[in-house]
Amino acid sequence: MRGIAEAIIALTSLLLGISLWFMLEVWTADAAWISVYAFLPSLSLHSYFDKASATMLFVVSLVSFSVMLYTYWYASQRAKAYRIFIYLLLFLGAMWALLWAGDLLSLFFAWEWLGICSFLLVAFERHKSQSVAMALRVFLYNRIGDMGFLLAILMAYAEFGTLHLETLRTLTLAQPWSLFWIGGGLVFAASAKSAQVLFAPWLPSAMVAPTPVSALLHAATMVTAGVYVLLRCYFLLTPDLLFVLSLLGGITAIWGALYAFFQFHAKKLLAGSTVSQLGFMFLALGAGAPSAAYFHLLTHAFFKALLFLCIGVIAKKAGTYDMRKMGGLRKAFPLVFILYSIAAASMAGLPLLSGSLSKELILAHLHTQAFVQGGWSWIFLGFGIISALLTVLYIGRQLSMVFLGEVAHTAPLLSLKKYNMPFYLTLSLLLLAIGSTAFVFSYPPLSPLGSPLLPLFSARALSNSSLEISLLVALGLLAIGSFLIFKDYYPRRSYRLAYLLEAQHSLYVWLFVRPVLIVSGSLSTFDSDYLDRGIDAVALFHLRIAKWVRKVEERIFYRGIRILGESAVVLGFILAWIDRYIIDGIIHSGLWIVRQCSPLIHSDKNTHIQYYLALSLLLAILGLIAIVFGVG
Amino acid sequence: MWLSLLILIPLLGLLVVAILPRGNTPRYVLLGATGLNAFIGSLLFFYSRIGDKTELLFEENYDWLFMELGGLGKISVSYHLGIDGLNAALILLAVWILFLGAWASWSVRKKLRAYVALYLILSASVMGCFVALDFILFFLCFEFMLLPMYFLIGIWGGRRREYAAVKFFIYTLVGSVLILIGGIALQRSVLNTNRMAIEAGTTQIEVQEDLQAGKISSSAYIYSFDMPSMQNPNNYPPESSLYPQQNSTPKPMRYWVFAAILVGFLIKMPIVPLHTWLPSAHVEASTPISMVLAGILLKIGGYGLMRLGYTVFPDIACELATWISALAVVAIIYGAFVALGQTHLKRLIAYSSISHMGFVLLGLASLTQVGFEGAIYQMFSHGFISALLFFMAGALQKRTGSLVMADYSGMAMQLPRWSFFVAAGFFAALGLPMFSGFIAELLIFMGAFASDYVPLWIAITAFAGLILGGAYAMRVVALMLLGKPWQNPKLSPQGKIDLSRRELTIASILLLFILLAGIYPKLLTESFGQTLGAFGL
Repeated sequence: MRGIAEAIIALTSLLLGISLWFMLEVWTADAAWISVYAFLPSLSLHSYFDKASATMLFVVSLVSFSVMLYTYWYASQRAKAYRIFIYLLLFLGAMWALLWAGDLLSLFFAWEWLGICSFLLVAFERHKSQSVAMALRVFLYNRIGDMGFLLAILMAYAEFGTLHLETLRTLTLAQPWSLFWIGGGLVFAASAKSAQVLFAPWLPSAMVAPTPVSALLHAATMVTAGVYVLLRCYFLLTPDLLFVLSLLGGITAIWGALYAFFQFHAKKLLAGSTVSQLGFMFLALGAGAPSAAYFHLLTHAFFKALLFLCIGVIAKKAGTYDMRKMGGLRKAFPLVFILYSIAAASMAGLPLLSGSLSKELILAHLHTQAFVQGGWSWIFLGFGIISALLTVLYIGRQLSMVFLGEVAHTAPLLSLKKYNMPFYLTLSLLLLAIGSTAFVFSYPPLSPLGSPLLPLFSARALSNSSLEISLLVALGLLAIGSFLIFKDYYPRRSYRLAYLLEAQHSLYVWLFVRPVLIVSGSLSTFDSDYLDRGIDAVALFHLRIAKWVRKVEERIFYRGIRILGESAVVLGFILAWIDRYIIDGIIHSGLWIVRQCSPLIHSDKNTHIQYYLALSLLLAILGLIAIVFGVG
Repeated sequence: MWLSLLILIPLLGLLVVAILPRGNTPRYVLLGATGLNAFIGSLLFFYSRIGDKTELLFEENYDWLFMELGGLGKISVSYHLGIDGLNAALILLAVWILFLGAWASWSVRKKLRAYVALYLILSASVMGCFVALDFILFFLCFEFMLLPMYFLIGIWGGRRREYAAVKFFIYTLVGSVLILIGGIALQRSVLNTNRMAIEAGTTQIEVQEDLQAGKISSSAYIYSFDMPSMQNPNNYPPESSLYPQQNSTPKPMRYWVFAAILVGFLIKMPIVPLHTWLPSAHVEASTPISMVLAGILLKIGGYGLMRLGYTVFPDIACELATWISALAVVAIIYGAFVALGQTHLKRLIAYSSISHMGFVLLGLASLTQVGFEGAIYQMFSHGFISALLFFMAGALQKRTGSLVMADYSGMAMQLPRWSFFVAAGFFAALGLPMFSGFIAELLIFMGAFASDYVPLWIAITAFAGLILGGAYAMRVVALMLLGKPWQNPKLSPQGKIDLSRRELTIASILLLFILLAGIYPKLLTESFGQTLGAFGL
């Protein structure tokens, strides 16, 4: 089945070419591509493809292509490894959809599929229960965030009757009250997808995925979808929400960096770093500089993917992610060492590398905001500076622990020979390294202001010397950090802080997961043992009533009727007796009297009928006289 | 003519089965009859999609019974069939689920002739329910479904099949009685103005005007069971106890009749706390019967509520909307919670059905056109999703006899095809875009948010159902499909056999409908047309 993998890589390179062509077209035409598709009677899907999406599309495609080449090396020894290419292609499709989307519904379509791709890829090693549990965790964190997106969609539809962003932009100029809920829902959703402090624990959990997946989804592209959506919907964010963004971003930047600084798992360190960098982007958004956030999003995609892939090469050969067991690996992996250093220096902010540009820009915006607004903004600036320093420290620490120093005295690493990478692996890493330099983003490469990407999104004007100050600050931080690293002032033992995000997750388990499981368990018991049986009991009760009624019928009616019948029979017998002996007796005695009287009347047997007639006539006359006179 | 065919073809099949000898031939008749129905039903659906929706399509209206009952007046019962926006999509659903259920019955051996006969009776009465527009005809079919269903569960079911069948029977009967009371009460207030016009020699509109003006004596009244007539206030005599008054508080009798109809259909849907017949019926019923039960029979509850409840009593529905929406949200969340706590796959799917039917009620409670569209969409979507899930559960049960989830793990590596469809079914159930469930839930929520009657907080509370829905769906995927490949060694080794070609085809057709409705929603929304808007929603 290796044919599938190769076919998908070929397809991805084709997509890369197409995205390059799209980008050139859009940049030369200087206009966005839009289209409408009547999806539902009340809702249409819109596409909106402008320079920002085109550029990001190219970056996403490039990183995906590079990661797919890497995966070809990474998964080469596994049976059925082609499945990962199918999932990666699915993911790339979802990213394309996200970048083409021009309304909230289309964004949500892609958004949901990113979540599913994330689930499938984290659970890629599906026979391991650990991977599966983590995938479920990742999915649920994202699912909760999705509700915010849904809320935004529904509120926007109920309030404005459309989800088209360009239409909403004009409709929401008056800043109605519902805007807080729409924007708030989006901020909630974005902070879940982009692992901001409340949702941060899912990102380290996702590190059980294969390294290329971590590099592509959980560092370079998918997690930045939250930032991208906020960039697109920036006009929906009210000042209150920008404050929330700053606060979230600032805390996240430090939270993730702290986690990274104390971490010994090489990939989880990078995950913490991703959390921190995403917080940095949120800080930029909150400071009213979406352009800086967008810029950092693109530079971060390259250097973070490269860091992951370099660590992946080493971990695969070394068989461990534990940095305490590593050391001195520059000898076995010279090229990886060089490329890793470029990426690390880029993230730390060494001039002429891409990371320095975007970091300076964000610090400059924080600085300007602090000067203009004062108050909380100084704290945000402080967050930014501290996290920038921590960035230098944690990445310097990893560089030092993995590549510098002596070879650790553990078995698998001691026997490592110098590793010759296959050409496509080198190509994959080199592409990303080129993207980590400043030259591809800005000219002159020392100042971010030369970048053509900045005008794509609005930004507050920088105050005069902000950029210079932030450059100096960044260089100062770099110097301090490097000094500390070279003096070995960093944790080499295990500290509790290395489990910061795991502890946060345990807290959520206690606060939410367990209560939900308890409720669901008790409701299930209630449903089957009480409600169901209760209703059965009602039915049985009626059955019992029916039986009782039957019994009553048997006892009272049936027996009563029998008694009635029996007594009727008895009565009949009595009546018959009375009939026979009393009534008949009276009649018979009457007859007997008459019979005894009759000889008195007809003594002679020869009496004629005329005699009787005369006698009765006489009696009648006597009777009449008696009546007449009696009455009178 | 065409709609009658949908009822007559299964009955004709019944005749054929009656004269056929023993053997396997009845199943060809079953497949043929339901297949022909599926074909005709699809054609009717597509014609009604493009047809003019201002009036009933494929209407058939014949006088059926006419009774002069002395003091009770004259009563007309008609044989009235038709398609409008309410039932077009559900007819498509019913014919296909019946067909696929018949196909899934291919392996039935026990008392085949009786099975086929009962299945055909069920098909005829289900179709009758969806196309009937006269209450008596509707109720006849509604009641008649009970008989075959009782035997289909009670003879071909699982271990406790008789208990489940009796339970199903009693529950449905209670609901039917309430619906019958409602229907009879409505009949005492609704007149067949069309027939009165013919007898008086005028037009229907004049009769209606005279009626509203009080010019018609009650001796000339012809009472009617016609459901479209019930929707028109002009057919009610002003003195009747159910007269829909404009702009004033509704007559108290209207509350009682609506409540009777509501509760009657809520049992059928079913809505918590009237749902306990469903899990036992599903667990005990055989696979095709589960498919039909979840796929169609529950939908008759929602459909009946629309046809006889919401469109006839919109004023009462408005008054009670807040309470009904609260009930719906309770059902959504309760069903999802209980589903999360299940260990038996079929029970889990049954409770997820309860949760999903709660969305139907929420859409109805919103009293908006988009909410109604969502409710019908959800019924269509859930019909196919639940049928797919029950079919897959049944396929596994047939092989091993166990549906306890803890008996399985890593099925994706053992039965990849089966796992693919189960995963797709659960992705659809949790409302992933591109699957039909997403569109349905989106429309329902759009209705609930735009509604004047559903409080915002109630609509937002329903989100908890979506989160829990994601949790229980993915829990099954994680526990059963992923993980170390393992099956309880006590189970039959047949559990290692993947889907057969027939099972694969049936599942693919079900999934095709789910995807089609998810990617191309106009398939259904065009069939709704203006009908839903015509109810003044």
